[in-house]
Amino acid sequence: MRHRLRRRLLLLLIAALVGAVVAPAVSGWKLIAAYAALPRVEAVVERTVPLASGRITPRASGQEIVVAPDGAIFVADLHGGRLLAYPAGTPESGVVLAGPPRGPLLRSWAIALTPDGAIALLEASTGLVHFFTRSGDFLRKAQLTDPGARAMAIDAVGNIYVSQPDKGVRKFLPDGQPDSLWGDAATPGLAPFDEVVGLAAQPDALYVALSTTRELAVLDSRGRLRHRRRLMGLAGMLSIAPDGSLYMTEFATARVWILDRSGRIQGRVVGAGGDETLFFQPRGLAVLRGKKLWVMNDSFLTLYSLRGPP
Amino acid sequence: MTGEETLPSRPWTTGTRLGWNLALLSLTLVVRLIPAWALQTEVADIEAYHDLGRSVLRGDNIYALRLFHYSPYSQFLLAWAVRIADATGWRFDFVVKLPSILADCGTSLLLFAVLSRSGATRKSALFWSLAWALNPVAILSSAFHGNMMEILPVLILAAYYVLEAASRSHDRDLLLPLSALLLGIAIAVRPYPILLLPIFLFFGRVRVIPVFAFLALLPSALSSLPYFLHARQVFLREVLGYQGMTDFGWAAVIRAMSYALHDKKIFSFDQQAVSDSQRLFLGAYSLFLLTLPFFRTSSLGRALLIPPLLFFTLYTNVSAQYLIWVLPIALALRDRLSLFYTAAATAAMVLFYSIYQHEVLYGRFPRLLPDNRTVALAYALANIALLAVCCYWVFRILREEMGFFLREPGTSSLARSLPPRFIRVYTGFVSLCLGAWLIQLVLVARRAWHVAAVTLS
Repeated sequence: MRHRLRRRLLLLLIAALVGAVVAPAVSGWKLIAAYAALPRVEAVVERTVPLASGRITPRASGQEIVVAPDGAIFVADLHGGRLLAYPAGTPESGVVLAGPPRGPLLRSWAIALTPDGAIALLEASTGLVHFFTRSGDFLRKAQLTDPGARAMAIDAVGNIYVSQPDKGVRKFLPDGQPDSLWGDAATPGLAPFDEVVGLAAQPDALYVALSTTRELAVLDSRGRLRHRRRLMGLAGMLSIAPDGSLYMTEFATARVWILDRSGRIQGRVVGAGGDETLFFQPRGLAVLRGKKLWVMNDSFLTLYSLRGPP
Repeated sequence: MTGEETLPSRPWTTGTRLGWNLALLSLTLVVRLIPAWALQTEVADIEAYHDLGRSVLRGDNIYALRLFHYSPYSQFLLAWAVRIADATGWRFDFVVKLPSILADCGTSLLLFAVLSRSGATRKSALFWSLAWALNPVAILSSAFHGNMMEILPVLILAAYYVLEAASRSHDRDLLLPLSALLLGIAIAVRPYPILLLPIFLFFGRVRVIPVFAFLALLPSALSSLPYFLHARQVFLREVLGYQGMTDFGWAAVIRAMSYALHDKKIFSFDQQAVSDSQRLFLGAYSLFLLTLPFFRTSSLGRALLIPPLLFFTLYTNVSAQYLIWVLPIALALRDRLSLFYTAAATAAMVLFYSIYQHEVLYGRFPRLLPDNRTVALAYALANIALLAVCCYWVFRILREEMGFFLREPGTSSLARSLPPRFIRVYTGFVSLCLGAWLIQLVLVARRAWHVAAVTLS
């Protein structure tokens, strides 16, 4: 009797252990199968531009990038403290527009173009936004945020959005005045958020990538929260594609995500045959017409050609 | 199953056994819960676990973050820790330590049960169980560091105990799969116990090897298969590419001396030396497996101590949480060297944390030990002491087993299964392998000397 009870107990224990083996395996299977089923856009490398090329030395560390309609690329070089330009989008055309040796250090994460073609560079150490012509001539500067700010966006009419560390996002009108009608009713001119690492602006919406909570917030034209979506990965720099979809880099995992206008995940950009090693510490990005994508990978810019939906 | 001869003592009554179990459980819990609750710091592995747990909850590939290098089996523990922390309002760093703390409680109770049933006196059973309950290495690993590695001791100890019990039980047909599944879950949580599998297989019977191996590998294989099919590139990169950190062992001595002599902290070690030491360890481990037939058939526990001790002695990248590997079995064997080992490992851990990760040790409180060259020198000396204990321990086990083989050959499986002529041939083969490994050792030692000279010059 005792022996039979003991055997039953052992059988029960084995069954429990088998359950403990099978349950996580099944859950894991469901999880990774759903992840693998996310739509993928295949990207093929068309061209690579090392940052330290043309007349740019020494090695640079690019952060955000912006591409003008004529194909000129501008890069915020954080460690070099420079504004770099590749007017023809080629290594040979590389030139330093601002910062050493032309001027003082301008350590910056964020860069944007104004509607009239000027380049705005957000200096991280001061919170100043410096404006330059495309040939590198200094136009003006404005104190729009606090030191430590990492994100900036300018919309089609010239409104400037800057992150303010530990406070949120502020909007300034094209003339540099704060827009006190924008943002949260309790904090005029400010939409409150935790750490902001990416901004992208459209006339009717502002996209805010939040690193602490790993979310993407979508604000309407009055700065009110329209959506707040949980991201699958980490938050990163943003760029709006010509079709209105949103692209976001993820530095730590070397991924690029595609999101719809409401911030929902649409898919990922991968290499041919699903290659996951396509990007290397991706930061800034720009999506162009004709399904072209520029990404700032470590110390080189890469132009990709995108294939397939979404 | 113990290494000591013991005199029978008064039998346990159910009441006293229950009382001691409760006392042990409470003590194990209290000494761990207090620091785990009080530290209130999310650093090192805990910080990574929080990121990983959130990724799992959001349906992300856990390997994408480059922080997880094991089979995906334990990923949902992290996700549950995030859920529980969010639901209760408790700090994540406290919640994620709970599985390790509860596993430590399990180890305390299991040790007590193993020792009380294996002929140990009451005093002895209590002493060695307390040696776990109050073990600083275990407490530092579970309540301070909070690494999931701490779940392993209870599983490995249980697998060992069940396999030992199977050899003298009528329920062998059930106990063997039970032991295999326990070991298998341990392998799925962290891959280190895979080194113990050949020993379990050797000490089990030949007939059951395929079933035992299948069940022991099932948990990791089953949880890894979907990742292999759906996310092969990232999965293989993370699982096969990780080499650990140079925090303890002989390379840590060089690292510490660089700080002590030149005030220069080294955060990564020469990769060639890491690869060399990996090959040296694998060579020694293979050689050890070849010596298993010389072991007494009752020496499963002693054999299980050798792989972790060789790892600590020869490999460069030993992390703090690895130091727990050797303790549960050593305490179950009532091996006094485990006390010296505990002393050296504790000193090395405390000094390491004081220099490189003081938040793990002191949390939100002011630090007790400074981060300076004197502490670095003490850290180097503690590592040397740890290496000395590990080397001597391996030497002692091998010497004793070989001694038994020479004195009483009938106690070893080799002598039981082979005629004397073949034993001589086999012994010659093992000696040849030992010679080859010694040459490898000399070559690696020369390169290590060069690395040390360059680093410290």
